[in-house]
Amino acid sequence: MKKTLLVVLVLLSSLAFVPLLRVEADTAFWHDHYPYDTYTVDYRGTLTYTQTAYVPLGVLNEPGTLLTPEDLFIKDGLVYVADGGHKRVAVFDADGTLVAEIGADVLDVPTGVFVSDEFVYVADKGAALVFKFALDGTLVRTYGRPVEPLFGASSLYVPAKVVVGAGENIYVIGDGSTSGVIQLNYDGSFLGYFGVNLSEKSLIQKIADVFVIGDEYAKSTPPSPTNVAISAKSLVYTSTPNTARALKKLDVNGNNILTMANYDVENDVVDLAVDALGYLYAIYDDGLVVEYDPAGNLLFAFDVTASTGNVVGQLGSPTAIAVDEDRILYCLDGASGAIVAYAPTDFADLVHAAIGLYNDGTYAESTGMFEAILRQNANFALARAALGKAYYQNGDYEAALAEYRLASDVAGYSETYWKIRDGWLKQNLSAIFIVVIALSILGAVLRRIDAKTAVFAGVRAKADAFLARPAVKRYTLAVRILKRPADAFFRIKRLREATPGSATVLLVLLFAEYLFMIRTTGFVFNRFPEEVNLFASAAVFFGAFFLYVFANYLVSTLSDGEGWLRDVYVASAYALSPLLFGWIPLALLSNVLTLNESILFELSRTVLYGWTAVLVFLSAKEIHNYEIGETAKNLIVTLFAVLIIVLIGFIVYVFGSELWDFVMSWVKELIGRVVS
Amino acid sequence: MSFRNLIKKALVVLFLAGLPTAVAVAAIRPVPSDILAPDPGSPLEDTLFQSNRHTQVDDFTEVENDLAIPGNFALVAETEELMLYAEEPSGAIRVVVKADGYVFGSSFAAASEPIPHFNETWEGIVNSAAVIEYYFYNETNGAYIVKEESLFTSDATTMAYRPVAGGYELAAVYGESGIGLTVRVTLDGPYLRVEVPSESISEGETYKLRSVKCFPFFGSVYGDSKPGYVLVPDGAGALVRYRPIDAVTDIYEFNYYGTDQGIVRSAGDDALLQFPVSGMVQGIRQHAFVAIVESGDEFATLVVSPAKNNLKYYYSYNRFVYRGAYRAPASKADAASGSGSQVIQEERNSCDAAIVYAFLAGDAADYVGMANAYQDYLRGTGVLADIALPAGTVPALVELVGAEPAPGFLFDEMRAMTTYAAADRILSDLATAIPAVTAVYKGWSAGGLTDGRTPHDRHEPALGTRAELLDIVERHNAGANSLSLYVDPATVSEDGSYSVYRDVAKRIDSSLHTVTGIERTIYRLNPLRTVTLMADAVSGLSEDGVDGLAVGSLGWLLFSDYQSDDPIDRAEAAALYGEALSDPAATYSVYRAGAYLLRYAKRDLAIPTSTSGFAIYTDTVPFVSILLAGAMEAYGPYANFFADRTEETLRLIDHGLLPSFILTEASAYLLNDTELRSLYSSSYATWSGTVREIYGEVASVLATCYGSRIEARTALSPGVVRIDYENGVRVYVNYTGSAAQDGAATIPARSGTAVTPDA
Repeated sequence: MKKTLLVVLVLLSSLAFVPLLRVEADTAFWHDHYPYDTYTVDYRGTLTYTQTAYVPLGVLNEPGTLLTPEDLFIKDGLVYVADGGHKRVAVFDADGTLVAEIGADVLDVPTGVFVSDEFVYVADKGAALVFKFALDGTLVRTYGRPVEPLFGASSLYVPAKVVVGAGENIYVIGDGSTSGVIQLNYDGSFLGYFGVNLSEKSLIQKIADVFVIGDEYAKSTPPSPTNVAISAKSLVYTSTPNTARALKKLDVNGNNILTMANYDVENDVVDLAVDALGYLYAIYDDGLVVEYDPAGNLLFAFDVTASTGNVVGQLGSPTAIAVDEDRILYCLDGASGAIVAYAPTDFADLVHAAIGLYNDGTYAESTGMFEAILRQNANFALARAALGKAYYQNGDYEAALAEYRLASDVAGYSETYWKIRDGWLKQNLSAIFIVVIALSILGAVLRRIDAKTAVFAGVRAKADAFLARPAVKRYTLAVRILKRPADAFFRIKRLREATPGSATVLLVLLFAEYLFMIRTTGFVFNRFPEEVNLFASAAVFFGAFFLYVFANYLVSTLSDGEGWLRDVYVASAYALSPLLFGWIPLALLSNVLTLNESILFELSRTVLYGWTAVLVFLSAKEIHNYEIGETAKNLIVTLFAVLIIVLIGFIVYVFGSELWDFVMSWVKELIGRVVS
Repeated sequence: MSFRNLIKKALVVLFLAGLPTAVAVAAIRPVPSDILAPDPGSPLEDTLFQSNRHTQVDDFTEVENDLAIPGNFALVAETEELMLYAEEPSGAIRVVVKADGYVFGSSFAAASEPIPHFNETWEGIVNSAAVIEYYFYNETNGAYIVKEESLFTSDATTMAYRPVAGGYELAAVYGESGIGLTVRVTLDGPYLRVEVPSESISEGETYKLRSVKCFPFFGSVYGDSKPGYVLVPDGAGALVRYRPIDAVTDIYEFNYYGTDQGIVRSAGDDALLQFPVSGMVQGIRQHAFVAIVESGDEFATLVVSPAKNNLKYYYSYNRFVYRGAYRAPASKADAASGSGSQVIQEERNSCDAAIVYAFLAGDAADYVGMANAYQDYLRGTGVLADIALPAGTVPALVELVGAEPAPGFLFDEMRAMTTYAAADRILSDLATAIPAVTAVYKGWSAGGLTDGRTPHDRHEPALGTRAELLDIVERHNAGANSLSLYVDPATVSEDGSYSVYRDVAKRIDSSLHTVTGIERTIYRLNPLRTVTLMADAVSGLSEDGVDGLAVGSLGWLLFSDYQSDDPIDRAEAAALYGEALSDPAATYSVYRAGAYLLRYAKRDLAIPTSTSGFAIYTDTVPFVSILLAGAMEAYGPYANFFADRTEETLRLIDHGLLPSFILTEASAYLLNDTELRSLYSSSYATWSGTVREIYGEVASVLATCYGSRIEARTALSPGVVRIDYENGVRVYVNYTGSAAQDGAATIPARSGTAVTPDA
């Protein structure tokens, strides 16, 4: 199991979130200078460079027209901004001219704005109201705190954002409202909470809960969503910073139906917007703007954070994002009060067109477009997966397999491979049967001849003599241990049939097999086989083994164990022999299995590791001559000792390097003072 | 699962367990060569074309000459073109351009006239010939502060004014700081020269000189009272048009040739000013001057200040920095956070400050005139050779990437992206479509592009044999075609071959000069080492008949080095880089060649078409490409990364830049886990058609005018420009989605066309 853990850890670390590439020396290729780099997701599931998807068009409004704006909304070519500093909703036309202001006399701290065909809704934190204005700016009514008991006597009502769906269902994001989105009817009656986030306890809280007396369990309030958007089909999207599922698309029951398919952005989301086709746009607190396709795949990400100077297209403090029907993005800079517009490039348009066709199910038509995308960016994994699907539909399985492999799309790859394998089997099944039957007949015949004439007796005698040699016996013990472990450990301990040398040979062989396994395990079960560092893996492999042996020896000397260090070493090495014989077949097997048969792979692997664990247990029992209970205790204490040794090593390392730094800084300062 | 399926699967397990599965991973299917271009129609087109990514329509309103020559100014020099008046003893000047009688001045007007909202300090700065900054050490907090001192800050300042041939000299000792210097102002034919000789500077023990600026308000303009702009040579070239007071408020200071990364660790995205030149216009196509930093450019910065409420003038000047301040880290934590005790540079930079002003009148008084005046100046000083480019034959740059190291299963492996044989195939194929292929082979040497061994004289076995390499050099470096091998004598990767103690440069805080790459750490080399490396490469390769070298880094990367006790400052580094490229046994192609390297460069392979996009900018103009037009081969950005192919291709035509491509034989996805990750599209199989198309689009227009100088460039309406070449050809570029008209000429939407004089 340790090895599975190791493999899992290696896989996890390679999947771990890779921060945005911040490169100082990317001058190998002179890209045209946009104020930011644009990224997409590559076959490793990490962000990689791509063509600029959105270019800054410029600042829409005149300087000074907005003061600490909080939200914006686009409707019928007009831009509505919740202009917090000026206590109003400012309305701009496409030229950036301020054409109207709404609610200047009633609004206090407007933080959210939404415009329907007839009305303008404004969430006002200061007044704790949602205002409803006619498009000409006349106040129609306000929505105050719901009076229904269901709302909760202690629940806060501080409207921060608002959207309105079909039937004038009003969705309000309340500051500190932990129960979810507040859903109001058009007449202001409370319909219930919507899309509640689940509370999650941290590990420490869970541990603490074990020890509490009574019902004083650690408190954990669910994070409250901080922003909301609504699609043309009245599907509500929410964003919640600091959670694993930051972006949610809620069905009518308030359940999340959005799965962030290819990449998780770790930053804190500030605002989100959704366009008519269901593409989702999010802006994060550090200025990352991300576009997701309707299925939740990350298409483009670019970072509009201001770096040097005041560059058109960079923002000091992003507060809101909106998108119009032409896919022009509008981002609001709370610091400078600028509305910055970004237009999609030809490349982004191409990607959108291709995904549109693909989502309509017209795979054949989309093929040419995805090929054009890949011509311009060979690392665009989503295009590869889509192309794989298109080829698959077309019956071109070999091409589909290649694309799925390059997209690291396991499901698609597995499905395609199943098709190919199925075809191969259909063609060759009869031949295989004939060979099998022929071989078994041949075997039976040979056995019968041997029984009658003893024609193979000479060969058998020679083989037995060879196997009886001590140098050979050392290694056949590894086979024997599988069938008769108690006997084998007796031979190791008492008869000394195995030597440290043979154990070392087996270990090295096992390590070679370990590398082979990492390298050859089929793509379906091993997405990123190439990420191996020889020295690191060797260090982990042998380090873990020797640490166990050493710790086990130390522990058992204290608890009346009989085994010497030599015995522990040799027996432990031999105890790993199920892996020695199992890893290679397992790795080979994984190459012809698909996800459908993954149970077969998992089962074999579990048996293999379970068997090994049993042998390790037996080795400790036999070598130290323990009872079962004693052995279990011994192994637990050994594990603990391993942890302590690692901890001590870590502490020594940390303090050592601190000491080194201290001495070095002392020397440097001394030199500095003497010189100056 | 049905029984039948169970049997089937059991059999699969039984019989296929040992069979290897062949997965055609790299099988890339051939794809049609047409590029899909979705409809570009955008409702915010005007916003885009009026943004600073494009050139604005000029306002040609005639301006009045509002600067008189006060009575206390005396005529000190006169040439055929100019008259110089100066005030004694301040040294304030007036320059009269004889061609049209227009007066430029260093101060606003006579002292008796009211200067709006200026206090005494600022009045002193405006009226001073030279203003200094010095470091003042604050004992209580152990930090230096920078103080500014004009000639009028202290009554103790002494000014010795004396006329010299062609002008005057002013020797001043500043009363507060005790720092002394001499400003020499002279006329030299069409040029006004302002100098502060290094040897004239004297300092006391207490106060150390930080910087000097001369005539900071020369040519300044009140708000938007006159149409015009400041030219900043950022990237392609940027204009700062005069806008109403407070429209923009940030003051910008640009380092020529980028920040000195030997002193300041920069994020790598600051503006790159390739040439030490700037200019101001007072009345477009009426009156202008261009200011060329003739000497001390390695230490000079360009300051551009917009008209703000407290100081209602647009002004720009060059500042010469003699000493930088930095933090000396005492610990690893200090080094990581960039803190530590503040220290100033011990030795003064060897900076002989000199600025040359050329004055432009009439139609020449715009950025095109400035570019041409600067080209004339460079030709006059011998920096730009007097060569004629072959007219009519439009070359294209084809860069090939050979090998690149990548993480392998157990050890790094070499990815052969373009073998020698493949390079031969690609170049031979392209030669059938492009009459002059300028090829550059990157990553051809042992270790590949990133870990390339230095000196660069061993071939990479993964690509082929040395004989093959030399064979392609010989065959593709003939006639109109050229093939240069790429070397980078200033950079090695952490896995390259070098000695940390001998070869790697150090920053002023004694840290190694490293920068973070994508996968690896990159080291900068000591400039002295660069010279020897280059000499080794040239001698090694020229023996084999290789005479074309494309030189990385040196063109745009100028840093001081503190590796030895005798530090190398930026001026010395620039001279060393020149020396590195001075061996006539080879010709040198350079990327974004700074002015200090222009003399040695045969062609510039990376001219930008855009700027840093600062909010103060109002326009992007092809200043750099105009100044090189007709004088040097200049190539634009790689077409591989075009996000809007049509627009970017039009930009090449507009700027008169030659198309460039970076290609490989293998697919670029093989580079995704390497240092070359940012090269995400390069396979020749997918690019061969597009290369031909883009080349065809650009060459069909530029063939009529390539090799000729540019006389005028005019924005007819937002997104539509006309470029007039010296040979009479007019090139029109229409970026917009609708057709445009200029007289008889119709320019279709999103297109570029040439109108020859006969037509």
